[in-house]
Amino acid sequence: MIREIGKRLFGANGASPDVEPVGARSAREGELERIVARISAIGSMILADAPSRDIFDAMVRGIVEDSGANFVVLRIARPGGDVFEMKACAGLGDVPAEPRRSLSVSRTTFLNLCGGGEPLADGFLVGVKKACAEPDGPVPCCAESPDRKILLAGIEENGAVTGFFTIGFFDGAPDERLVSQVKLCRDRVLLVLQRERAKEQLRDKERSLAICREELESVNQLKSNFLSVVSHELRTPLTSVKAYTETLLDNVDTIKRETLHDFLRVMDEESERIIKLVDNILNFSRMETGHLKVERTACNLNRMIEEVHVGLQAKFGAARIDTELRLPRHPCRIDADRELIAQLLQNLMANAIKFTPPGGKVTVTLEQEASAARIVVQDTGKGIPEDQIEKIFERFYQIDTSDTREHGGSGLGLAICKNIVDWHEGKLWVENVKDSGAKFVVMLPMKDIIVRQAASAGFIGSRRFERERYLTLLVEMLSEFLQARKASIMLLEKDQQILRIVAAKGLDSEFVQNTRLEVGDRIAGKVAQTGEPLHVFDIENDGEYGRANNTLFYGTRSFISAPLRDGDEIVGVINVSDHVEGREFTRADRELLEALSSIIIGMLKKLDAYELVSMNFEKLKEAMRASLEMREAWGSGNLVNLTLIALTIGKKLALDERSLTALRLGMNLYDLGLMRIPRNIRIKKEELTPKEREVLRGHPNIGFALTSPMHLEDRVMKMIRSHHEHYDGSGYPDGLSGSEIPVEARIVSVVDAFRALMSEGPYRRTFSLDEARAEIEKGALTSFDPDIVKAFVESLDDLGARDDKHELVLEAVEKELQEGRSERNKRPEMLQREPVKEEIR
Amino acid sequence: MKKGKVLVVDDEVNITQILEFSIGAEGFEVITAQNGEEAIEKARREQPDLIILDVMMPKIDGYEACRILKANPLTKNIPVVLLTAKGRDIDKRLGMEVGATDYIVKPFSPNRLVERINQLLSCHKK
Repeated sequence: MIREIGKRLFGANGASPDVEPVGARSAREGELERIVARISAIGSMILADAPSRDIFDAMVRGIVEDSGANFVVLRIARPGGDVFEMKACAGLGDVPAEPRRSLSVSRTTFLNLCGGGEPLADGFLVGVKKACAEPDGPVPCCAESPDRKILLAGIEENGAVTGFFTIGFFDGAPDERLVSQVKLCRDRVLLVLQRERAKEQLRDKERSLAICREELESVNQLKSNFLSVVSHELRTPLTSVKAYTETLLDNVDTIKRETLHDFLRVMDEESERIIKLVDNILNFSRMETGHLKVERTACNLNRMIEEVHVGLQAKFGAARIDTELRLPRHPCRIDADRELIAQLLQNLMANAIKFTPPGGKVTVTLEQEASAARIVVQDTGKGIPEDQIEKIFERFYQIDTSDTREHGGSGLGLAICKNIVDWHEGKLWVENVKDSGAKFVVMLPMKDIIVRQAASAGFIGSRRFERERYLTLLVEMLSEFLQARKASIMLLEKDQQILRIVAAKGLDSEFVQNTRLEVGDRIAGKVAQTGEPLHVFDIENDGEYGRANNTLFYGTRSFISAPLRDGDEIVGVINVSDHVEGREFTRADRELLEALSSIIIGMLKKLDAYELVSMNFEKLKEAMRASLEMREAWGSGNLVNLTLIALTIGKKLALDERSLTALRLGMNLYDLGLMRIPRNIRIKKEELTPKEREVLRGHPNIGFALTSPMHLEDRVMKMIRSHHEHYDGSGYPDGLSGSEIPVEARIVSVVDAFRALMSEGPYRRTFSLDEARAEIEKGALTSFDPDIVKAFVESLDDLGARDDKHELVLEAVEKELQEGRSERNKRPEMLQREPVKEEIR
Repeated sequence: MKKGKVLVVDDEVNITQILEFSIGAEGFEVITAQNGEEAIEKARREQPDLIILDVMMPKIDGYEACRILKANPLTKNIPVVLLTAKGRDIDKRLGMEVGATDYIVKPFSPNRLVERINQLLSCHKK
């Protein structure tokens, strides 16, 4: 089957006669001419823009025909460059498909073979036997020529191999004419590749142009929507003003006094309407073009909400809408532009009034989280169609333009809100509430100053700033997880005797910079010395650490301090204080802080490594951000309670301390993959389509991938990956069953199901505690491990779980806080009373 | 003796109120309606000589109301003047297609509207 290789080409094992006969010389010239003709034909094909495939085919066919080689294969690197793919081959026609070797060759194999081959001027001679030993060797069929050789001729571009020819078979060195033919072909291949790239670029440009055009068209559409809405909105009050003025002028002498009064009132109101509209439009366009001056000052959100709410009382009354304010006890302060925030509140509430029918209700809620303020404006209107939920913040967008008559408005109100929130680097979104109404949610960050300062000083992108930003993120995480207004990370200086604050939240920046604490000194120093965490319930009355405390500065008198350990060595201390709810920290809080310390030390080590080598910083941040989002979505308080339930189950099953630590962390992280699922799927109320369900089911794997740069313990990773596995093997993603599912993941799956039942879900109302428990018991043996279900039910009883308007409440936690308070209060010691301005614990 | 009966339809009370005043001052009897449904009902029952009909109204808009009026033998001969804040050609054409007699763009002059009413009614009566 293998073609005899002509002696003329390969010089009969290298032995070529010194003097060629005249006939032979003219024969060789004839061959050369043929080769030249062929190469120029290929050149013409390139000029004529023939398909690359045809050009490559002509090349390899030419080499086989002119040189008499058995076969020629051309391979080109795929994008990314790790694999060479076959683009053209010749001489393989009669080789059956089966004995053909793989057509793609990895770069590693190629480089290995070249390295072990015999170097020639333009390639490497490699033994067939050797080439066939590789699983993806480049020889299509080697069974029949084990003793001969093949030529690997690389095609180089900018110093990298972008493809290569495989030509065979040879007994000695290939003929120089073959070599020059390959050389010429190689240059043509490069030309073709460059041509393809240029075409691809052109296609890219065309695509982006098309996108541009689409965007322009939609902007145009918006513009004409705007014009029609605004012209209508302006014409309506103008019509009244014009009609009343003219009528008044005509009848100025005869008109009755009360009618006159009536007319003037209408004219005044309608002029007011025009002014407001024009203001809105101007404001908006100023914001769009960045001409509005923003001034951040401390704003008391409680008071601002109250003020705007009072201002709207008349409107609530006229629309016959009931209204309720739910504000936290402690005033919630943020750094923001007062006027803009007032406009935001005004627009959101006015919007809610507009879309709520008489007899309905508008509820405004303010909640403070550790690093953000959350404002929720909820109405009982007809809600927002799901397909429009993303669009309503676009400028000039109105759900139904025919609705404008009913509701009024320029379609600018929500777009302005969106701009205001964007300016404060917050988030604004809307959700439909089951059964009725829409819920607008604003999250305004209480940003750490460090980030903003660094950003304005132009540090962004520099390594130093990256480190700072990263540390800030770690502190944010601490503060968010523990719901502490103040948090800090301290590290031991090189001499191991001085603690310094490397990142802090909620502390005065001067204080952060100047604080140096000796080991053994004060509370943080003690923790660094002993390696034991300290949980102080009440600083003023604590026997050992008691001292006068500057409550103005600290807010609360309870704090926790835990060591950072790298193996046996203590490298620093983390501290939290000032719980956002104003309560003391509990034992569960302390245990979570200890569990977090292991993550933080792992990340700090990565950070140091980053400064030496490099680290995928963005990925790590992404993971942390997702974990914060999960807390936001589940509710921090809720997550604390659920973690406590999971731990109680773990203790009932006699799990060891490492498992319990894994549970503590895992409960805070297990669903973070869900945060990367598109929102419309995550919060969809209707049944999901099969496609959407598939996307949703990807979340354990996404979470797994997201957290991998955090270098968490294996058990925690398994909780993230396997918390949707079912006891009977019907779960996902791996279809594990029974004890194949790690026990921690089995616990999480029960607790997560319980959480899901207690919150709102697709096609059903929220379950009460008793109903949810019954539902879980029903799932024993099918979805859940029956032992864990049993332990779960007992844990609920032990912890005194009850539901308070569908909020899960654990009496055990409340009791612990109360006991702590009364016990500490019994102690009479009153220590030195002079105010200590700033002190780190 | 009143000169005739005019039905004014607009969901803005300010507009119906001022038209009631200025058309009434010209010696016409004026009745009002706040929406399309009410307009159709009152047109059937009261048999006005002319209808001033706003276009942009919730539920049944002016075009739709006009179409319904023109489809009903009881009301199809009553001339309809559309009032609209939209001044584009397509809106005028739409108005003519549903059988409106005339088309007035907001903001408008009440005097001119009254002139139009006078004209239309004297033509109509002849």
